Amino acid sequence: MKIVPLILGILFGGAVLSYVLGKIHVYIKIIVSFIALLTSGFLFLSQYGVTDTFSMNIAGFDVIWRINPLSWLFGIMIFGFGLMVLIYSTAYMKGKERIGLFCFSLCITIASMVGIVVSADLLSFFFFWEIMTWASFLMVIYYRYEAQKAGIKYFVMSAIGAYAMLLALFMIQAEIGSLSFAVIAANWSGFSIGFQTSLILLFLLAFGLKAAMVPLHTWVPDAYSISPAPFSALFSGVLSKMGVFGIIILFYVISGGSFATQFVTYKGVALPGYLLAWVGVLTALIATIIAVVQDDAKKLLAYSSIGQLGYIVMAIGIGDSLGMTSGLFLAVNHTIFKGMLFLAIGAVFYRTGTKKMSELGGLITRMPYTFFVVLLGIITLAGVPPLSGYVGKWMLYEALIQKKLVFLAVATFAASTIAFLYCYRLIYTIFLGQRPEKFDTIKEVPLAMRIPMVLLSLLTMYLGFYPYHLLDVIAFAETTLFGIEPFILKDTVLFSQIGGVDTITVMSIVGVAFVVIFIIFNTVYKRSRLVGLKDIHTSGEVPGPEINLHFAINFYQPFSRGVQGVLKRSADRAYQSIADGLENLFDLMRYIYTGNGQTYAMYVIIFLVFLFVFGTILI
Amino acid sequence: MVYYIASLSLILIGLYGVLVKKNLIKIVLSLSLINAGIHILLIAIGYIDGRTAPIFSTPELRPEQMVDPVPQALVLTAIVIGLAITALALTIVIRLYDHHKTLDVSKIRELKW
Amino acid sequence: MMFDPVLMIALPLLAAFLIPVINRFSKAIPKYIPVVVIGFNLYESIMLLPYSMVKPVIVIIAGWQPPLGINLTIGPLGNILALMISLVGFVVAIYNIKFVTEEPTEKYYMLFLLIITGATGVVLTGDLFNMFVFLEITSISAYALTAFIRDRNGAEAAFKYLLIGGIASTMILLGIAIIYTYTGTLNLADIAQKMQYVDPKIALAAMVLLIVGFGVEAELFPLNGWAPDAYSQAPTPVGAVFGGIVVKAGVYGLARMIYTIFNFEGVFYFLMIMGLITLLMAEMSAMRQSQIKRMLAFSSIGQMGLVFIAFGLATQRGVEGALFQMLNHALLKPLLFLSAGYLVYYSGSKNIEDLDGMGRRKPFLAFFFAFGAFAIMGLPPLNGFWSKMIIISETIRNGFVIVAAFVLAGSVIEAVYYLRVVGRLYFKKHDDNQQEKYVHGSAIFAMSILVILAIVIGLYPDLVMQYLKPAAEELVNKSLYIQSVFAIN
Repeated sequence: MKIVPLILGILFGGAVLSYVLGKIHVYIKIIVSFIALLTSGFLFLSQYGVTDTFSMNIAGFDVIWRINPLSWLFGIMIFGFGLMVLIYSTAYMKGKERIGLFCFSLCITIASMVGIVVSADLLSFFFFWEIMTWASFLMVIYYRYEAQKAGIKYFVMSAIGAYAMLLALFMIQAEIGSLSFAVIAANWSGFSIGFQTSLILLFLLAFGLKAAMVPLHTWVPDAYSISPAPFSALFSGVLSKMGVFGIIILFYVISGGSFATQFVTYKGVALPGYLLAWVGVLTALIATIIAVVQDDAKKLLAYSSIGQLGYIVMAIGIGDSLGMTSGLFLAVNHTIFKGMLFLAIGAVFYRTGTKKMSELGGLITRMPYTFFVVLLGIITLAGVPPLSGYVGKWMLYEALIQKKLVFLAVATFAASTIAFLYCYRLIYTIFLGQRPEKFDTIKEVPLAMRIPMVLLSLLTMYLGFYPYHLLDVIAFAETTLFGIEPFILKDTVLFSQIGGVDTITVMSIVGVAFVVIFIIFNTVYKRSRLVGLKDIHTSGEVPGPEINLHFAINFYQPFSRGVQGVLKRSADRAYQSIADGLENLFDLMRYIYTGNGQTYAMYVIIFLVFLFVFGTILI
Repeated sequence: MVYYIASLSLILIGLYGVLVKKNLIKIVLSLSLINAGIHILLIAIGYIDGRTAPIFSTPELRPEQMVDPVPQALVLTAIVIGLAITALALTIVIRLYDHHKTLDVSKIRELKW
Repeated sequence: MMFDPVLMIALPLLAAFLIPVINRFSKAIPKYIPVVVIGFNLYESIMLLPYSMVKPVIVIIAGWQPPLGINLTIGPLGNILALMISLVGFVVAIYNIKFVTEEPTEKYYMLFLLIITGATGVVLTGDLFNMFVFLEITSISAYALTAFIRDRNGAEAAFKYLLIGGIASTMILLGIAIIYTYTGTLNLADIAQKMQYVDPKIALAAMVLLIVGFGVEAELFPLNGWAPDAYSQAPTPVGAVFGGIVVKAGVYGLARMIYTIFNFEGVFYFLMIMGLITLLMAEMSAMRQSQIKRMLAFSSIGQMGLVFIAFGLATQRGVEGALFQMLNHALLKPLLFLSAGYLVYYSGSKNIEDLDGMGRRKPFLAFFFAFGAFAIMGLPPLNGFWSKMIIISETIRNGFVIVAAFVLAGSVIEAVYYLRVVGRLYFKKHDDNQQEKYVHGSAIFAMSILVILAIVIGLYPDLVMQYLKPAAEELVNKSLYIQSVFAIN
């Protein structure tokens, strides 16, 4: 038995089995999916550096599966994160209805993503891609009818993307008669420029949708915010990475890395990559601005995800060794911290029942673990030392500066700076400030929810200190990509042409500085005293407990006023009006069925005469 | 030749009736007319001037002296089918009249779009 | 053990006319007769498969050798279609046992068996006029079944169907008359052989008449005005029979005409264009239907459009795709209709709006409907995926990228309207004040057969592909068909 079909078999079989056996008892459901995930995960883990190819012919199509280092990297992300989400949901989904459906969709989604990364031909890639779409669709519409609109939007946009991909892949097949990555890579440079361009556009439509590139991002906020919290984490954490994975496949695997020789280059970046980088940075900029003005915490995180994916896409677009490394590093990193944040916000929702930041506040004393997780999460997100986000951002800037892509660098910097605003909003409005009275009695979330959050936090700290453990894997993965020389690094030092950085040093300096300042403020300058929340005077009156001193409402009002003009135009509304217009147009078409039998008979005769006349002319 | 002309004119009259007449019964009659026209056409195809029925009634009758028997067999079957359609159509027309109290085909259009 | 294939036609016919007699003695027996008889057909067509795949089984009736006399020519194509028809018939027959309560039930079973007789006859016969007769048996029973529920709309739908069907039958008869005049034979293989000596203008006239005639049953646009009305007003199992059996007979006739009998190159392009128009018009019309069965009818027309596109490619793999799609449609459309039938029965209304929250009250039924919807949208790993893949890939391989793009656009529309219904079923709350009714086990069993087959074929498409290959070859390579019929002498 080949290992790859075995892994997929365990995963899909486990999903079905957990659904069927789950009818007996809830725990069986969770245990079965847990075992399936764990065993297949370990099998997958053991395949590091082993390329074991499995191929078969099904319905006249050749199907090839294998695990190469790149799929290993993405696969481990999927398995690790999927496990976290599963642990988290044991507590989160407890007592909720339709856990069976949840477990099933979760397992199928994970299984299909593993399928995507192990595919070495476009048909099985598409096969698993579609499974992923419907499985995640089931999760988007999980919360009843209100979710239906978001769900259908998600599904229809995904279907458009997927069908664009289908068109492209069969165009390739018609041209060269094969769908295997290796054969396509060998023949890609033989395609004409026009054909290549149309293929790239069609593929980017598919992958850009999942990777939430502006202007294809409109499904993301709705879908992320409306699905159950553990699944939002999976959505943002790994599902969106499949789009990134697809872009990598397109740019560096099936095209044989030949864009640089086929297209015009600008500062050493091939035109498609350069344009992709700009799309990425615009995505980051726009999404970050919108994220700042959100009041719904999950929507904020969704827009933040779009922005972060923008960086990753940009890094892949630049596409030299440093760019790719930073892109992949940022991808892994984004999985970790966005997972932390979504799970933490889910925890807040679990206890308080609201996602609206204006209704929350002061939860720091009630949910300290969650607070720390969010704190670490936003530090990583902002890319400041000492956590792993910093390493990724550093490499990204270095890649941009090395290529002298000044405007891109400036725009990236602007987006990163604006990101601080929403980071602050996230932690302030939820955990600091005045706590509404109704939340005085809430408790910290159960252990099963805390474990994944804390594990992910530890991981981001670890990667901050020892990024080279991950960088090794990334460098190994890059060997499978065409046209990329693996990035050289030694121990904790990141070498590059314009200077290096030693993570241990940086982390130590930051750590020491933190401790020193902490000690100074607690000993030498100890002039502070504990102040109660209401320990202030408003015009000589002591505020009562009912007075709201929390500024979460209309947070960042000046900022929102400033960007209001920009936000007025929304791609979402444009699509909506196009869809409505089309639907009305389609509706007109059915009036051809008038309901009068005689008219139908007339159609028959007209058709007959038309055929006869037309046929006589042609003969 | 006259058979061909007769059959074609029957078919055309029938078509006219089906497409133009509003009365349900007239439409059904027109359908029968088309059918009858085609039956005559089929017989005309099989008929060869100066020959006799394909029955070996006298021993000296040879196959060259007979008309083609196959179209006649076809027509017999087709007549049965036409009869079935007409009968069914008329029962449906009766039921339509029961429900709608009209025989105007253009007024019976509740199922549309 | 294999019986004489003639029994596949004779037995249902006999049983059909025995039912009213038996009904005199016992009211309970007639409902089981179709299950037994069609079960026999199913068994027989499976047993025939290994023989017909090698070379067509020619059944000589009353000692008349081809091309004289009427004989059954059971090639791979006919056998596969007979299998499809018996399968759908079998499932619907099981479903009928408890579902049909409207009197007179024995007439219902009689007409149902006659449809099976006719459709099986159409796909098995080797004689053009015989084919016409069987088609008429099918369609006259279908008209009658459309009006089976004696309400005003049923009669209206039946009349429209009858009007268009009647015109179609005269067209076919006229076409046969022309063909007989110029070739002097009615045997399909013999006609195909002699057709090349016929003046192309005459052949064209005959072909146009036959295409229009069979096109009505095959739901080719714009000949399909009857379909939405008939599907939605007939009793639900009959809707499933229309989608799974009657249409298949029409499509078979159409394919047989253009592939085997006539040889015009241009007709294939024409068929592809008409298929595309059929597909797009149907999907657009289905978008805002308020009645679920009417929506399913339009969806069925759309699927047939896809089949026509694939037939229009006129390549081996294209025809394989078309047959595969027909098979999938024969599995899924009955599934959708049968589950929708019970949903309509429980909600007491044909409107989609009234199906809210059925997923909670009737989980099995809603699951069957959702499953059918997902499969027919072509989502992996279900059976609809593979046939769609084959058709799209073959369309693009032959250079019709635009056609493929439009087909995919149609699929997006399809996804929208199916998901709206599925979403309503599962995710819209509804006040639970209706009394609970019991879902019959026989219906659940019938639908489970279809679901299991859909999953099995989805996971292992080569199971059916191996049989579709020779069937497609029979159509594409017509000299093979002619030779095999005459090889018997």
